[in-house]
Amino acid sequence: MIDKPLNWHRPAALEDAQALLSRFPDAVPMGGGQHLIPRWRQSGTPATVVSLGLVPAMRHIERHGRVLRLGAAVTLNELAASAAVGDGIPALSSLAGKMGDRLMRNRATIGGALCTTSQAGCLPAAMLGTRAVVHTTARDIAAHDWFQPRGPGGPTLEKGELIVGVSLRIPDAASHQCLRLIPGRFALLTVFATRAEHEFGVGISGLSASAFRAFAAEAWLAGGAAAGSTGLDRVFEEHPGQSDIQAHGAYREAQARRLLKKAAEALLA
Amino acid sequence: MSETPSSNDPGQAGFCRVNTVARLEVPAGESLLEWLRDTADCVDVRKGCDTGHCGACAVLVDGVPVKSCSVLAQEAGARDVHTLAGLSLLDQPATQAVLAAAEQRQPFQCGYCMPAFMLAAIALLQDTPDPTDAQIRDAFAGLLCRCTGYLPIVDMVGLAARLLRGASPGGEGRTA
Amino acid sequence: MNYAGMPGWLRRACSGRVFTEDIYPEGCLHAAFVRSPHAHARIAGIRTPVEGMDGVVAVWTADDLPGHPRPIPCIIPLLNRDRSSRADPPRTLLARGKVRHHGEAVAMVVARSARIAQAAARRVEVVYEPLPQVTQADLALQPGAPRVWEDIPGNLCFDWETGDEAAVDAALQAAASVVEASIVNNRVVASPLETRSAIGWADPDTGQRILVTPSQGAHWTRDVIARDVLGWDPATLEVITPRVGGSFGMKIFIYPEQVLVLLAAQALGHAVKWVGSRTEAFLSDTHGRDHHTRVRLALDAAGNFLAIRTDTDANLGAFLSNYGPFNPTMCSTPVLPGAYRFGAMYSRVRGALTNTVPLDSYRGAGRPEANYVLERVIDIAALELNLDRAALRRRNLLAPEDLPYTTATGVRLTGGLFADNLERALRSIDYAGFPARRDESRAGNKLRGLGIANYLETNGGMALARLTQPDGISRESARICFHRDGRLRADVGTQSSGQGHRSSYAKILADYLHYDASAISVHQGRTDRLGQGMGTGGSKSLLSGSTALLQVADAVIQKAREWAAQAWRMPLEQVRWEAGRLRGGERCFSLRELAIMAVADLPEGTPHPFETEVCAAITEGTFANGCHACEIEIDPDTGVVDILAYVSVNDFGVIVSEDKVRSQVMGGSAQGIGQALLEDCRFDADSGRLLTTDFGRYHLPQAASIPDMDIVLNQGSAGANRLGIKGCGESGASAAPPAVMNAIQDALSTALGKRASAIQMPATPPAIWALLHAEGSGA
Repeated sequence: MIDKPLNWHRPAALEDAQALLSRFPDAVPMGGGQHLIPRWRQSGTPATVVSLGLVPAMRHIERHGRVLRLGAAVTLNELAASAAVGDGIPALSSLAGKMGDRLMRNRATIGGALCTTSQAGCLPAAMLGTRAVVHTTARDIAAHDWFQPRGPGGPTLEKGELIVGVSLRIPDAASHQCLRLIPGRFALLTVFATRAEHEFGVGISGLSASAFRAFAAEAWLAGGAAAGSTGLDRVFEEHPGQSDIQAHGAYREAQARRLLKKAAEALLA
Repeated sequence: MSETPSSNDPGQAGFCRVNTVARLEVPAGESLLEWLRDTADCVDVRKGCDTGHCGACAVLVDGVPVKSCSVLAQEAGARDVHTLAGLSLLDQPATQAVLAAAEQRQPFQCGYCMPAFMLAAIALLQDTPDPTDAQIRDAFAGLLCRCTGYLPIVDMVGLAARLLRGASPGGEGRTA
Repeated sequence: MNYAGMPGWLRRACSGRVFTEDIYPEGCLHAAFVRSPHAHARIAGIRTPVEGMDGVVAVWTADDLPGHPRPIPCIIPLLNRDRSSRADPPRTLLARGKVRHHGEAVAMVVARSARIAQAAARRVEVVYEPLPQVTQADLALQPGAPRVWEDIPGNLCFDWETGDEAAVDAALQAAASVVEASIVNNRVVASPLETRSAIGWADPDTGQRILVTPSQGAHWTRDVIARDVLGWDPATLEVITPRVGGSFGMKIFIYPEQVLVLLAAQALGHAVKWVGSRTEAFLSDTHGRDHHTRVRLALDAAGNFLAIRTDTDANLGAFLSNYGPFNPTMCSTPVLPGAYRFGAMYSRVRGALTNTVPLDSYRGAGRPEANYVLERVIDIAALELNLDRAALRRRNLLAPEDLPYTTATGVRLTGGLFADNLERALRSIDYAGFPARRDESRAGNKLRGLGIANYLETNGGMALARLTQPDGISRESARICFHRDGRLRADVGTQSSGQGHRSSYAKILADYLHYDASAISVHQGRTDRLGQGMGTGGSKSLLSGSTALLQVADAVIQKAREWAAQAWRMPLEQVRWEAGRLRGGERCFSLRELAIMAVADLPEGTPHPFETEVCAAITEGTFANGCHACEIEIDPDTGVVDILAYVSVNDFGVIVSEDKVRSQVMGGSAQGIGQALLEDCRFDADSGRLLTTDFGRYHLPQAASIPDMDIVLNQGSAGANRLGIKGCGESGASAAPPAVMNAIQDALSTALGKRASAIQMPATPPAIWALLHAEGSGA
């Protein structure tokens, strides 16, 4: 797998992790490694890896009132099993329990998923739909800026910058709708929609090159999901369905419409 | 070897225990799969693919099933690793039930995928001791077998669940 | 080979208990391959700056190979329609001058570790000049298509035909109805979980060359590599096939990597090992199927089948694998009429060379392809002519009173439960109750469909033997010897890759020789233990293995009688084998007891007097037959198919090991379901590169995709062999795809009418959805 020795560190504190990253500017931070390690078979391992799995500052699942804080090094199975998440936003814990396969979920982390699954998969949609905020060691980045960077110096992490966790406001209602054609793999299309008082959040992943926050769908929901699904047309004008070997664009759009309507039924009932 | 400012994690220079036997410290840069096969003589951990999509590399690390192809060997430092061959060493009811059921039913054909399904079955029965067929199939999501068509393996897990409950293997239950 | 003098790793290989990749010879070197990233390109130059790299021992390109190896041969002779011979492009071990498919091996690096070999392989620099490419067979055959081989115009490897074109065309002209369809049999990747691998070694003391490699027959592997490729006396090469992790036909064939590690081991004086990665498997294992067929079915006004004509373009890949042309032609067309009454048939097959990995036998080797065309066109006929598809089959299936019957392809059927299989399947799936269930589904906005597919198998290796054996006869070898304590060891020339041959064979011998099965061990994959073997393929191992084993068992009994006659001082005729005992006068002994006695006074190491090896002729093939039925529900909003019920009724003759038979039906049907619904092998249109190179993009069926199966073993029609068995292993792959696709067509027909017949494999949700929502579909 490798052609050169690997410097591997597993810091026990956030400060140690940051110190390692500044000492080794090319160090690769790693969560569960579920995406990175198979990649290294093709590309070779990096010179230095900083494994973040034990950093306490990244291992929290906390609820303070209506705010849920999730550490970047929390695994998907931990997220799925958490009572705090299950009570607060059951759609999120059930989503986490269905991502990928069980073996992978024992290692994959929220932080890793944020960094590597922007095109497809359920977690990006959930972060966008809950209007979560990504907290790094340097700044706070709204989910829709994280997945759809606007302008130069976007939210791509600076050297030495680490995701510490995410926070989100627990909504009044949340709906996770996805179409998973192959068990254990990414869902083809995911919609995660939330209602908090009279505000809506909608995240969609799998439709186009990157997951995105569907403002047009939020407006449609705010309007009572009236005008059938033609009210959704703007979503697809802004984000046309992409075609690839899995599915063509028209199919993706049709499925997104269907899932948005199901989310609407759940939220507006 | 690595050097870490102010780290006191004992896993840093890890002696990994494989199937209860202490091994040499795990080296840098290999996946757990490669280290187990090439250095620790564990040929019952298998490499069915390059991309983490088949599960044939499954092992238990501190009792938790993971794909060893997607775990660095060093992550297992100071931890207990069990491969398929070492499962019988685990005095754990779900494990023993699955081993007994597999011995009885012999559901595998070529046997290459055995680690994936045995470990997934054990993990399932540990938290769902009485799974439905749908739950069993669901527990096998992402795991690949090309020979059997899965049905004998699903059936085997059903038998393991009955053994775990202390019911008669024929299916009509008597509680333990 | 001297077992005691063998290195430990070789003894481990001989145990048959570990996979090839689990064997680690001391001091072993490792090979890695540089593979073309292009589908078609000229090689302008190769630079190997890695030769000085620490740990790199050798780097070979085509020009560096010692000893002038010949290309890997395609062993199938085949005549075109004009009586000329098929083209024979050379399958060199490493690319020379050009690369012709994504993944073709260009160079081999040998190093002290696999890691170093792979790192070095990545650094070998090959300068390519990309050329236009073509990956689809039908496009390759069109005028103006890029040529894969300069001297093979039109990429046409062969243009073959069989049957009676005049009679068929006359029938088509005169028929009350002609149903025509375009049928795609999609390309699949065999994907056994164990990848290909090979360890080559030359014993420094004896010069004996050894190849440890998975195969479906060590002897044929030895003969082709030694005799045909390397010009070695086959007696100087032993091939050991240890445990094999699945094959499905793909590991039958000889691959460059196997030959190259042998050459390297010979040249470098160390064992050389190669274990293929999964990516390499996608890029270099033989693929399967990939036929495009235009079929025409002629019927009379009452719905009787008159004639069938197929015109097929079959993809062969860039090179011919050993059996390549056989699968779409002589292995396939004999079962095109199935077990139906057909007056005439005609098939024309054009074999197309393309810039893709070579194609060869995959579970069924051409028979699933023929059966798919037949069973699909029957359902398309039923749809177009508004006939009941069960009734249409019933009308045309051979009835018991029709037997013996010689089909339009010359297959002579003396037995078979064709009509009864169909009725049982219809009862089991409750065909009569289906319309009510369909209405229920419709009320829930779902499309429900029911599909039926019969199948006819031809097993025994007859067709291949006719083509490749000097006397055209199918054979198999077996040897029996005894340990001093009377335990029996059998060696057979077949090769299991998960089918469980050894326990079935042990059972047969135990029953026949009245031996305790636990005192019998069965071994395969050893050219050093058995002189010859035909290997496994075509679902014939139980037939060929049992034929050889029973014949050698008879020979053993004969030797035992001769020994007893001498020991007991009586004429041979007075020594009888009766009810599992050797009897002479007052004496009565089991075979095991006699085996112990026969060596009790002989020195250790003396060959056992009862030891025998035979090579038996397989004179009759078998014709397994059956009917699969499948009920599905489609969600029209997503195109997702849910299989609600699956029935498989089979006439496998007498059953030796019921568990093993059921396992084969489930496994084969699962592969068929995978092909029908999931397995989509795709090439990039612009570059010709293979896009689906991992299990994240090429989807094998998983547990959730495979429904419970009601498997019925319909006995009462024995095969024409001593045990009365019929081959079963590939049948599921023949029957499942049409059963599933016919169900899908049936479901779609409620929304689309006759346009439902356009659905092709793989019927993925997007594909089904697209058909339902195509313009003007009104869905």
